Amino acid sequence: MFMSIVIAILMLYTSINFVYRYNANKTTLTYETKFLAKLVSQYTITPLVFQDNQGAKESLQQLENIQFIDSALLYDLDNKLFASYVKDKSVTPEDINFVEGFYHDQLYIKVPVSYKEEHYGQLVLIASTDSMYLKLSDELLDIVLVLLLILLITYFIVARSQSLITAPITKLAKLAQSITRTQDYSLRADKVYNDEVGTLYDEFNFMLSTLQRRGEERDEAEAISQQHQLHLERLTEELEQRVLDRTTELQQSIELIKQTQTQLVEAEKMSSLGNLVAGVAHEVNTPLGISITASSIFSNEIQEVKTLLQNNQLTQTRLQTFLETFEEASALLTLNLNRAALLIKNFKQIAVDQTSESRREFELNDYLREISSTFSSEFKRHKVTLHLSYNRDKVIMNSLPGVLSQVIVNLIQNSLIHAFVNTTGATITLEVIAKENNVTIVYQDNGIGIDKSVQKNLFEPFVTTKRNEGGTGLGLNITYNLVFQQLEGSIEVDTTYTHGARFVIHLKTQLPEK
Amino acid sequence: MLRILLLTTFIHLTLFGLEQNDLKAVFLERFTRFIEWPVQSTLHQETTFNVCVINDTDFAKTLKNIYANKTIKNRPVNVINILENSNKKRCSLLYIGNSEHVSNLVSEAKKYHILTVSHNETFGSEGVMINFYLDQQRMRYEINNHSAKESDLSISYLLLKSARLIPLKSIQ
Repeated sequence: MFMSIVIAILMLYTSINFVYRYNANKTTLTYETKFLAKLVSQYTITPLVFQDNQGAKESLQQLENIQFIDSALLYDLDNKLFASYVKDKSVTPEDINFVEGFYHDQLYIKVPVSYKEEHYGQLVLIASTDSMYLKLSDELLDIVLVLLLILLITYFIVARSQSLITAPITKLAKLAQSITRTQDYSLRADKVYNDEVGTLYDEFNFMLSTLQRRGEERDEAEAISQQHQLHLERLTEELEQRVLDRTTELQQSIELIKQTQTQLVEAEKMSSLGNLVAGVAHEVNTPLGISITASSIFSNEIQEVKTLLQNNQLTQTRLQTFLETFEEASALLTLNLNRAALLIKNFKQIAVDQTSESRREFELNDYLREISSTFSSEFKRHKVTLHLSYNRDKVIMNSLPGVLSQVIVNLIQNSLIHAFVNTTGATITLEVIAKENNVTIVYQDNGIGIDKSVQKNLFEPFVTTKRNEGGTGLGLNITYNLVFQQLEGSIEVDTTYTHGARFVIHLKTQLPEK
Repeated sequence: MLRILLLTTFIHLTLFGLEQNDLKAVFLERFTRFIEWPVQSTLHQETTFNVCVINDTDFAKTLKNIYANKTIKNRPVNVINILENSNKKRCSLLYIGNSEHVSNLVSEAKKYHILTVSHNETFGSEGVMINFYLDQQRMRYEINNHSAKESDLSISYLLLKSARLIPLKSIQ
């Protein structure tokens, strides 16, 4: 294939060269002839001027030394032949009026004969192209010979390279092919020569070794990667499991806390209820005691009178005394029993309210009074007076009275426990400010007030200043939650009040239907 | 008629049937085409080309006829018969028909940069610049270029080539 390309190129070269040379030769011939004509024309000036035909002819005759000039014709101004030179070939002088150029196998050149702008005639030279073609064929032969030589050398080079270069390379290519096909990177090429091709073989083999090694390394890496992958998956599973466990733990913890909270709330409720019960018992005890005393006096008198009657010693005065005592006693009994019954009724109401969270209508001022009455013995003991003030006689609320009582009870208890330390004239005031749809209850005592350090986190759970004395620290937290969640109101401590503790509670008079 | 023919055509001239004088006269003008007068010559101040003839009235007449309406060096031709000892200052061309003192004339010519022409066997070697002679019935001319150079006249090599050149002879 290489050979055919070379041949094609050489043929192209030859033809181009031929065309080029042909044209070049024509140009050369034209140039030479023209030059010659101009030169010779000089020698014909004076012959023409002085009418020397002979002289002209002699000048033209000099052209016989020039191979390629067939004839020379000198014309005067009238275009009549003045002198001529003709080589062996017989050429008929043509008409002077022709265009310069190649005709048949001759070249016609025309030059004017003039001197100092004075025109004297024309000189025509007729050149033969035979020499030109001869020269051309000579040159062409040279070229062809050279080309043949080149061809021969090329053939030898190709033949040689075939064995030295092409064959080994083809062999290498085949090897590469088989490696790709069989994926066997352990194959190697057999080096034969110790030249550039040999170097190629060496490098090729080295490359194969590298590939082989790379392949092995890659397999190893893959295996390791897979291991890592599995390990990673396992770790991920473990992690997920741990997360799951932790989440479950956390959920359990949360449940536990919620339960505890509920329990604590319940406990608090129980405690307040307990306080309530204790209060009730305490309160009821007094009238009942009086009633028992009255009834015992009563029964004693009856016994006495009965004995006197049996002994016929009963006097009218004694009967009078007896009836008076009886009247007094029965009055006392009635009063105290009624008192006890009333107390029980109130307590019952509060207890019911406290244990059941039923929604009902109630009058706020009365209700607050009832709550405070449950503390009457406590108040007496601690020498505390409770004032209740309101801007409206009747404040009808439709809410959870039980919850409200818990709130108020808690506040009162706090005041009793924390506020009144060496306080004379301890006072608690409950101020009710009723508006259209809401009511504000202001609770304040004139105790020692709430410590600044505690004020900020007052409503948070487990915040107490009496931890070592059995305080749970949950009271105000429960109160807070009850107000906000159950009563849908708000409670805040007045931090600017310096004469004791002051709480402002806002409530909705109508709790929305759930 | 024949003269007109001679002037307007370039027929292959031979001596047969044509006057030598006519030929010579025509040649004079032809010569001037190949000769340059120096700057210092009177030619450049003259409005006419003055041809002075010594001792050849026939030739002078021929000249007059032929150059009646012709120019030499773009100047109308003025043909004058002069004596040997006339003032030749204004001559551009001096035709010496006959003379006993050619060398004097030659020196004068040199002085005034005059082209000397003659038709004589010895005049050429005596210093006349262009000398006609006959060669096998052909009118030829010989040129003394040394003389011309001494007169500061430059003759084109084309003319020199067509002529027989007179070699330099040591002249006493």
